[in-house]
Amino acid sequence: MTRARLGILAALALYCGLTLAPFYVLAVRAFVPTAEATRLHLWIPPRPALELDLRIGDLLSTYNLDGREFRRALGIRGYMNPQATLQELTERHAIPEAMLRAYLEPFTRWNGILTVWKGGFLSSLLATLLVVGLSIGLGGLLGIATGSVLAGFRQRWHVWVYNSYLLNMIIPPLMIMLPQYLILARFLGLGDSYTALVLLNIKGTALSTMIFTAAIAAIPKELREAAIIDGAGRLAYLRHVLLPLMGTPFAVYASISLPWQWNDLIHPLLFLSPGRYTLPAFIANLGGGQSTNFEAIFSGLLLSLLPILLIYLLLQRLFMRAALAGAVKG
Amino acid sequence: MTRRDGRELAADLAFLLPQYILYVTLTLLPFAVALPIIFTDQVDFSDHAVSGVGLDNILSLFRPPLDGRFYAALRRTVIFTLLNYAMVYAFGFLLALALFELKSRLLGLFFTIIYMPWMISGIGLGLLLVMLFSPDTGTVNLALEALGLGSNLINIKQEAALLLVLPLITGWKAAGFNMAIFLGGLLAIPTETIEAARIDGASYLQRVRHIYLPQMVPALVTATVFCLVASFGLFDELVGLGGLYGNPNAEFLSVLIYKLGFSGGRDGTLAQGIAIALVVFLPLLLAAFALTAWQKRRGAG
Repeated sequence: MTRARLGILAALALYCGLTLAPFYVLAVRAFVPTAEATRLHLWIPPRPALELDLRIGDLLSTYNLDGREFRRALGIRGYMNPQATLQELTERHAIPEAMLRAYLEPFTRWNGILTVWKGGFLSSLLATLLVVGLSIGLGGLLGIATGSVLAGFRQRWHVWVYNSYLLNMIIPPLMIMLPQYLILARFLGLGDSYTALVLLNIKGTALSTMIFTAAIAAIPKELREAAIIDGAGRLAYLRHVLLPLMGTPFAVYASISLPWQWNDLIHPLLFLSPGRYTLPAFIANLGGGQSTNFEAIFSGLLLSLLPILLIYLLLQRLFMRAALAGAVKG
Repeated sequence: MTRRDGRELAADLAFLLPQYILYVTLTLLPFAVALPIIFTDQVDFSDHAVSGVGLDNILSLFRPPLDGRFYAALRRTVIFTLLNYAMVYAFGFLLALALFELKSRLLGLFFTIIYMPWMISGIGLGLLLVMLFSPDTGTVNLALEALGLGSNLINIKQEAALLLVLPLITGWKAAGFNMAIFLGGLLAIPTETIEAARIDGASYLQRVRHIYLPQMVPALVTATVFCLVASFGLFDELVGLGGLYGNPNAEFLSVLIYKLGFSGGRDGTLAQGIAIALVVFLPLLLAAFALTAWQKRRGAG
């Protein structure tokens, strides 16, 4: 191995290390208690032992505990004074201290994660999966249909349709967002629905049109002519000739759309009510406002990153194939 | 029109219209609705007492009290865009060249890691900046302090630090995406061309200058257009940084559009928001058209 290649290898390894560093810091910070945020932590710090002179009311609010659940789990009957300390609680209700500590331990250790989980993380993850899954599937089909007509520009008006799709690239999303909302919510009755988000994702973009039109135009003419002589209708041609050839362009389309649609923030914020938010809006709700519960914010960020990173790593071959096809060209 | 032409047209429309109806309804129509508002004093969409004001909305951007905010947001957006564009080359281009020369089985591993940050949401990236560079709680600041280099060296609440760190982290996020675009361009170069140059004794820099770059023009145009549109439209990251509340230095053009346009008259009017959106839109329109026209002429010539 030459010295130049060794140098390149070392530089790339260094860059990859730097790239992974913020992910590592995030994984640590998701478990650093907010009270400890002003100190440097390179590893998850041990939790300070629970002080028994903490008041019950403060405990419940700090760790986001359900009072009724708390009483049931510890077998507390009768009145529980929120002003009482934990010490008084153990004495009055004859609860062993070890039992109390054992019960509270997971809540203090996983405080950030549990706060995010109880805040509705799972339903917002499922909503994101539903919206993005439907969008990529339907958007791909519609894009292939559009491309199958526009490829080769057989008519003059095909060029105009194509160019109007290109216009999409330079229309600022913020400018058309409110009219979009009015049309979808008031005229189509799709306020607070995932359908509105899917429609916005599959409405056709400059990118999907460019990708599929270029890919279909590159298919040899003979193939199309043979299919037509065979008497295959358009639909049969699309299904039996085009679709099997659309693997790579679909991979390009899907690999570019996945992060964009998954991470769309502004449309769910505007279109959905907070209980139905998709992941980025859910995270913005946790951290974009004035909240300074760093542990919950970073736990939320970590939890929301894991699913898409998992999908990415599972489909990593597809991403690479798409990228190296060089199909994203002007 | 013959019968065959008619059938062909019907088939064309049947395949084109499902998506095109959506596109017209959700992109072209909203754009056509939004455009005329710029000449009115419309406060929001429930404002029905609308009258025409000519070019006042555009002029108000250059007059007090709005001019200071507009110039500041414009300055931040332009500086950010330039630096972010430099990052396309500092990260994406150099990484693509490195991976192209590497020819090792580690390529897949490197590619996977470098592309990974592209999965982070904009708001997530803003929150990562807060996590790393906040005064008092940012991990990088705390680490620098632990090394004895001084406390709160990089404070993202300050404009200069923000404009330095933000392009770095957006460049880091887009590194894999840009690298993939450039790598696609490099891999399309015939190996014989590169071999011939090598045999002729061309140095590495000469090869990059005379063989790689001319062949990579389509990739360069793609990366440029993506970068321009993403930089001018940068919004989610700024929300994560507290641009909507609390951090006035994160008020870029997109945030200003949002604040004016959606404040219902408290901060500004819908018409003013759209006026700024157009100020963003026009240079982009011209740049994109100029770029594509230039590339077409180049391809034809």
